[in-house]
Amino acid sequence: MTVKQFFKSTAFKCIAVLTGVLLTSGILLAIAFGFLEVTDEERFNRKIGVMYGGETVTSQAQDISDKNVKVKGATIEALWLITNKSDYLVQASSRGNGGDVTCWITINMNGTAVTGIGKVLLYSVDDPAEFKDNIGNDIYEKFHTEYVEGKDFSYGTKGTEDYINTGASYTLSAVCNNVNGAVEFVKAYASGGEIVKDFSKNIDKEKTSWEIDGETVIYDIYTTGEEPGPFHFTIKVDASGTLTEYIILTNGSSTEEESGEDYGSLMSPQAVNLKGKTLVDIESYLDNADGVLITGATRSNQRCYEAAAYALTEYDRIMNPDKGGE
Amino acid sequence: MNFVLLVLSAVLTNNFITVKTYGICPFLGVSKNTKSAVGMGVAVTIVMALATLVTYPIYKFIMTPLNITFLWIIFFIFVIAALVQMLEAIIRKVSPSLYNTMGVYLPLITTNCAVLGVTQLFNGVTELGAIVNGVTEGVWLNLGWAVLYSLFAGVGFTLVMIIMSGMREKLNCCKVSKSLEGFPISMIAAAFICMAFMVFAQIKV
Amino acid sequence: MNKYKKITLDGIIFSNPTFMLVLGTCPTLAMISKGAISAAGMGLCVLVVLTLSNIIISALRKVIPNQVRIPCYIVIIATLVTLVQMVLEKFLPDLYDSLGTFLALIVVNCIVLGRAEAFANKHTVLESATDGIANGLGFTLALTLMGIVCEFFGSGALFGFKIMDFKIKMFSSPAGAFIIYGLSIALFTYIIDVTQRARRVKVNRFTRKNLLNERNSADGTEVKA
Repeated sequence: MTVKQFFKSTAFKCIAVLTGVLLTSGILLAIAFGFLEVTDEERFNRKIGVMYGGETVTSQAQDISDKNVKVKGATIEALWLITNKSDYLVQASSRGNGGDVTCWITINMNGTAVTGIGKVLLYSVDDPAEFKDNIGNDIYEKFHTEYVEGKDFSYGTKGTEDYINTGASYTLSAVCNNVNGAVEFVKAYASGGEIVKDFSKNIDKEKTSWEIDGETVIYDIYTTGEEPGPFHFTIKVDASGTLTEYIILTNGSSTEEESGEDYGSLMSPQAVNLKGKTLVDIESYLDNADGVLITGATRSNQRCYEAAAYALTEYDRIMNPDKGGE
Repeated sequence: MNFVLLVLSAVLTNNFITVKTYGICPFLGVSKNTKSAVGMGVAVTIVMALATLVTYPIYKFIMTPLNITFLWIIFFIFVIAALVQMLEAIIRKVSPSLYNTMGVYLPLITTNCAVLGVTQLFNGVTELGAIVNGVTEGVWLNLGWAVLYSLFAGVGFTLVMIIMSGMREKLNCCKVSKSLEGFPISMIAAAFICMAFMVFAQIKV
Repeated sequence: MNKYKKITLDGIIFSNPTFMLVLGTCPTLAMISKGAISAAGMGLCVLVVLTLSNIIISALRKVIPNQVRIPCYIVIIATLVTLVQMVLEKFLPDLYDSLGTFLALIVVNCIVLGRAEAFANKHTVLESATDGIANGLGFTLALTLMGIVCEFFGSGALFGFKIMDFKIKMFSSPAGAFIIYGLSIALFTYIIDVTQRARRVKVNRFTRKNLLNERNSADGTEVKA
């Protein structure tokens, strides 16, 4: 086949047309992309715009890498300053029913003081059962209307007076944790302070007591709540910040009605596993729920870890009453 | 542990047919008997895994640095078409008997949503957390995980195809009213498979 | 003019891509379970892509060699889909989010490639455009109707507005979509069947009358003879 023949053949025609079509569409798309490109910044601002009902806002990401981002059971993942509104936007997440519940929360500011909560948006939920649908918009509104300085929201916790029966208590308490954590974090961030680690949320402070025995503190800790019910522990902490003894005296865990499995009897023998652990260990158990207690009763496990964390954080304050405390 | 979660997620929780509704055409079209359902399922599984193996690096190492990710549809569909052609030629050459059982379904696969759908899952638009609940949240899938996920998504596809073909073989022996014959009754049967799979959404990670 | 009427009726009713040919099932099922707005949006996107691809392909039908026609069609369709995707992302981000991955999957939607292969490469530009619009409309109408039903049962709403306070969660999942789709096909074919039969009966009666008349007249002639 000569060159001339090749240029007249069907094969050449096929190649030429296909290349032509490809090139034309490539160029066309490149031009269209130039006009229609949606930049990451635009996409992000669009998402924030939803929080402000479609208004255009400008945002500025804040560096929180050196801060303590674990506040009141929530993890602060990101923080933005909304420059034209003097608001802070917080992305916070905590554990809900199936996995992490992540929220976007706008916090209204006046100078360095928190004046209220703007809007709470459920950003993502790792919950295949979609309990989130049970939480209506009116409940998210409540965060805005019922904000009181210094008071924590507890719509999802059974037994509190704020409790709202939604059928999605775990998800709602995770949202509450996120909001509480966000407010606390922004308060500290705006005034330049640090966050004090606080695990006393579910501790019954009136009943709880302690004794000092040389370098060791012996705690007698009670927890509050209905589901699971109150726990009672004896916990010893030594000078190196390690748990030397951990005993569950009363287990508030319920008995599983269907299977008749008693979480309490599963859990109490495992409590030994907590001996010798430090605050770092306990905090990691609290975050992942993959700890040394394997019972299937997630919330009861959380209570046990919280009691341990409480005992460990209180140690310094008890031994040096002058330095710590509020 | 992650591996188990990935398998559960790909095969059951996020099943391609019953949850994502990808690849319904072959699901309804090629599920008349179990033999063809298995052939189609295996062919789709292989193409899905291979397509991810090829398109993921192309997206990550060629298209992203050149900032031409907006052309992904054209690139991916060409890669899939070429892959299917090659696979067909190879199978015909190497094993004619395999070609007779599986290869005949290959040309149908180019226009199967499941294949384009699975390659799209990993092209950086969606985060992993959205794909596999809680496997490695917020981190991009690396190539190995991506291919494994596609492979097991294909297994889930095959599983549902086989269940469906069994139901349809039984349906053939039943007398249904004339207007429900064919697609309508198959779809209602498929609805029950979907309902059964909805239970797996309750798996807690 | 009759030709265009036939193309239009075929596209919307007699060979409706959703109910009669059962094509493009993946986006149908996914979108009707999301509600009427998503379903209508999906239908309109397919309408645009289908019409444009039909026009372009029928305009190029003499240029494209037979051997590479499928790859060419796919490139053209993919380009159009990418364009639609870009426009939606820029101007209608909410719809873009609700269509999600299925927007890109229009490329592998059998309707688009099917019409290109079966109609556009054999007919003139105008005919192909009519065919594209008709089939697109048929698809859109079918999706919107089923979307309304699914949305009503799934969340008690109509195009996003809540009208009744109840929900059956199954209808906003693929399972409900399958049931609604299956029953809709059955109902559609039933209605077509009944009307066709009625028409056939009418025609039969008409022809029988004619036959009788003929026979009578024939008898008459016989008598005469």
